[in-house]
Amino acid sequence: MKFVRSSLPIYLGVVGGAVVLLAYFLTPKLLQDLSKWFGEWRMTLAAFALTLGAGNLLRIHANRIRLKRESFAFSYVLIFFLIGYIVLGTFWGRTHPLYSYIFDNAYQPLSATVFSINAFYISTACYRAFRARNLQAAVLLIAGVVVMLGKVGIGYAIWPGFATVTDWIMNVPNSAAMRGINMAAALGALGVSLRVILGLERGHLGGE
Amino acid sequence: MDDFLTRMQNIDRRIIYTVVFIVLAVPMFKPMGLPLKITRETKASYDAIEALPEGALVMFATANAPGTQAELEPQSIAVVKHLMRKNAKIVFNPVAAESPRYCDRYREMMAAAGFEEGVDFIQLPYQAGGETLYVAMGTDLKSAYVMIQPGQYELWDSIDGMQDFDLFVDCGGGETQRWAIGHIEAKYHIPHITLITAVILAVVQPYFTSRQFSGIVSGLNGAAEYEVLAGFPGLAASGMDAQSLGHLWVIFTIVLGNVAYFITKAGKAAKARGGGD
Repeated sequence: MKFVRSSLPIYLGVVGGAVVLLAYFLTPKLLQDLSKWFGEWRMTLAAFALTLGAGNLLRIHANRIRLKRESFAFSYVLIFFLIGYIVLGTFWGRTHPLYSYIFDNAYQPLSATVFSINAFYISTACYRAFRARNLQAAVLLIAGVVVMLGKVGIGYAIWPGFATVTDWIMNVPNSAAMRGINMAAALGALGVSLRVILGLERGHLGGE
Repeated sequence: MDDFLTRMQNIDRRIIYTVVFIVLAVPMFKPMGLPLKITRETKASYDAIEALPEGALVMFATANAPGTQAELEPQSIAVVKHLMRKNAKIVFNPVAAESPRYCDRYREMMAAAGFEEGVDFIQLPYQAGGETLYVAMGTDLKSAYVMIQPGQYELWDSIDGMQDFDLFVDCGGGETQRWAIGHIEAKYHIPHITLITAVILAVVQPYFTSRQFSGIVSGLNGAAEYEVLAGFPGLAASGMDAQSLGHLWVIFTIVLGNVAYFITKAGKAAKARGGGD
C-alpha cells in the first residue's frame, strides 16, 4: 500500500516528465509516440478531475444537509441543479431548449452580476487604499490615473497626450517589468519540474 | 475643518456605490458621444484579419464565460463578423466549460448569413484539460479531437494540423493567452490575435511588443474600437461613455482622498511644530 501511495506516483512522475521533456528535444518515433500517449492520458485525467470536483461538491453539500448546518436549505438547491443540469446535458444535450433557457436566463445573468460587483468594490478599494504615502506609491498612483484616463474617451477629450503616455507606460516600463516577472516564474516552474522529474519533489503527494 | 477632512477620507461606501451606479447607468440611456481613440493594438488586430486571403482558415478558440462576457462578447461578435466579411473558414473551439453556448451563437450568426456548417465553419466539442488541451493541439490537432469522425465535416477533413491555419484567434480572460503563445505560436508562428479582458492587458502586452501577438483587442474599449474600425456599431460603443464616467469617478475619489490626506497630514505636522516651540 505504501508503494502505491508514495513510490508509484514518484516513478510515474519521473517517467512521464522525462519522456515529455526528452520528446521536446529528441526525434525518435518511439519517444514521440510515448509523449503523445502521455498527452492523451493527461486530457483523460483532466476530464476525470471535473467529475472529481463535482463529486466533492456533492459530498460537502450532502454533509451540510445531514448535519443541518446553517442555511443548509441552499444545499438542496445546489444539489438539485447540479444533478439536474448534468442529467439534462448528458441525455438531451446542450441544444435542448431547457438547457439553453437555464444557461441564458439563470446561470449567465447571475454569474455576470457577481463579476460586475467588482466595479463597486474596486471603486471603494481605490478610494481607501490609493494614498501617495511615499514616492513609490505616488508613482504608482500617477501611472494608474494616467492609464485610466488614457484608456477611455473622456481622457482623450481632456488631453490627447494621455493616450500617448499610456501607450509608453504599457509598452516600456510595464513590458519590461512583466518580462522580468514571467522569466522569474518560468525559471521557478522549471526548477520545480526538474525536482519532480528527479523524484526530489514530494509536495504534490501530500507533503510527505 | 479637521472633522470635514477626516470625513472626506472616509466617505460611506454606500454613497460611493450609489454614485458608481449612477455614472454607469445614466450614459447607457443618454450617450454623450465621447471621442474614441483607436489604439495600436486594436488596429493591428484589424489589419491582421484584413490581410487574410479570401477563404482563409481561422481557428477561433474561446474561453468566454458569463463573468467575462461583458467585454469578450462584443469583441468576439465584431471579430467574427469581420471574418465573415472576409469569407474566412472558421473552426470554433470552446476551451472553457461555459464557452460552447457562446460558440453556438456565433455558429447561428454564420448560418443566418448563409454560411454552411461543416463546409464554411464547424464547432469543435469542448475538451477539458486547460493547458493540456493546448499542448495536445500543438502536438497533433487531429488526435486531440478523435471523437470527430472522418467524413463528418468536410472542413475538418481538409485540415491536417495547426500549421494549416492562417490565423489563430484566442479569446479569454486570463491563462489561455500564455498557453497559446507557449504551445502554438512558438511552434507554428501563425499570425495570432488575442481578445482579452482589460485587466490582463498588462500581462499580455509584452507579447505584442515582441510581435508574438499580431494584435490585441482589450476590454470594452478594444471592442468599441474594433466595431468602429470594422464598421459594425454594436454593444461596446454604447458602453464606452459609461466606462469613461466610471473611470472619472474613481479618479475623483482617489484625488479627493489624497487631498484630504495631505491637508490633514500638513495640519498635524504644523500642530506638532507649534507644540514643540
